[in-house]
Amino acid sequence: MTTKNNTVKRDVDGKTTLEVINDKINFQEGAGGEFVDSKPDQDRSMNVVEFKRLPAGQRPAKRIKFIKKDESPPPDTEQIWTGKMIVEKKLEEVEAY
Amino acid sequence: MAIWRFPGSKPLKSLVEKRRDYVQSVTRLDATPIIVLTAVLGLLAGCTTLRSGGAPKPSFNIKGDIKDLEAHFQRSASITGYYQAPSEAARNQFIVGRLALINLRYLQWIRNLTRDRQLLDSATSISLLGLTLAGATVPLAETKTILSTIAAGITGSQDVINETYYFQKSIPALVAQMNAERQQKLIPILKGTKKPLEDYSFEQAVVDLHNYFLAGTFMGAIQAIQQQAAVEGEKASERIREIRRSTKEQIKEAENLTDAVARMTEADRGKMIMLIRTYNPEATPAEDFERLKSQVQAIVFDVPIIEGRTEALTQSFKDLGFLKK
Repeated sequence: MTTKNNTVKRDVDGKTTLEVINDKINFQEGAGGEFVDSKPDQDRSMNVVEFKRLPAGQRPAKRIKFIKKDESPPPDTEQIWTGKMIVEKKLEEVEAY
Repeated sequence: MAIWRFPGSKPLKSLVEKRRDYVQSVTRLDATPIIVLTAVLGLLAGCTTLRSGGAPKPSFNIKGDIKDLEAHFQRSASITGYYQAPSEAARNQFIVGRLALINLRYLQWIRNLTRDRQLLDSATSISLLGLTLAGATVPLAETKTILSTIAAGITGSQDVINETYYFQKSIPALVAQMNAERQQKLIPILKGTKKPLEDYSFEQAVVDLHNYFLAGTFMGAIQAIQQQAAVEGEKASERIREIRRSTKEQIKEAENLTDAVARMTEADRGKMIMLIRTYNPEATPAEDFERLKSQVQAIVFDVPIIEGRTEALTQSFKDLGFLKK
């Protein structure tokens, strides 16, 4: 689904681990998207992830890393997003670096 | 030639015999009773549906009620009547009067709807067909031609029955839609009657009543169905696609594809068009190079949601020299 501000929403299964969710988001970013936001859809157990379409031939310079709130952030990174995600069917506080 | 008869069916027998005598006297052909029988059976089939109107007889006299209501609300349900002494009570009186009349006329129409269609479409169409058939057979002398007319008549009858059948099938759906729409349109009117005149004006009530009336028409029902279909279509086109599970290698391949798009130059135009035609045949390759590049990137962008696309596209990029083999 493409919205007016050139963003695209994708479903990311909330029944899997955070690592698998992270891989899927990296996959889309590698294909020319940039993570913008994620909203949990508890009825479907899905994370509705919004990506910005980057200009042709561009992708984020660094791969995004998602961690649970209580985990320590990766070194030399800064937080770019925080919010709720469905991880292994549970609603979790997640941060992105 | 013997005529088919239903035991104990005197009117059918006499009708058939009358028609046979008439047609035989004109055409003097043995095949004609078949034609007449087809026509008469068609007529009688129509008459059967005619007797069962498809709705129970109402327990009240709709026509009489409408007449009484019109007399009672003659002044209050008229716009001129309201403006002679505008007030909240007069507005509500107008609403009640109009609602009652619209509802009764709607009921009357719905009841007639099924019966009218059955009468006109089934009985009348088949009757007309029967007459046309008889008329067409009169000047003909060759049995062959008559038989072909019979065949055409039978097919024609079936068409009429089918059309009527499908129309009848669509009526309940339309009525259900009209009822649902009417219910929706009634809400603001009923809410409005509880509001003071400054919050729910008389003019707004007139508009809402008009919308309520329109909701009880075929046009209103069809419009509502079309709007619903448009919304459903929009929902379908907005369906969010799921990113499939990926390996670390596939993530790397997706990155490589995007990087390869970045390296594409004007000299690659032909190959880029080839890619677009292969992976997105519905798209028209753009004249503008940057747009053409975006079209290729769009193919790459959908890689995470299409099974097997990463591998196939990587191979194509390699074959076209965009990636090292």
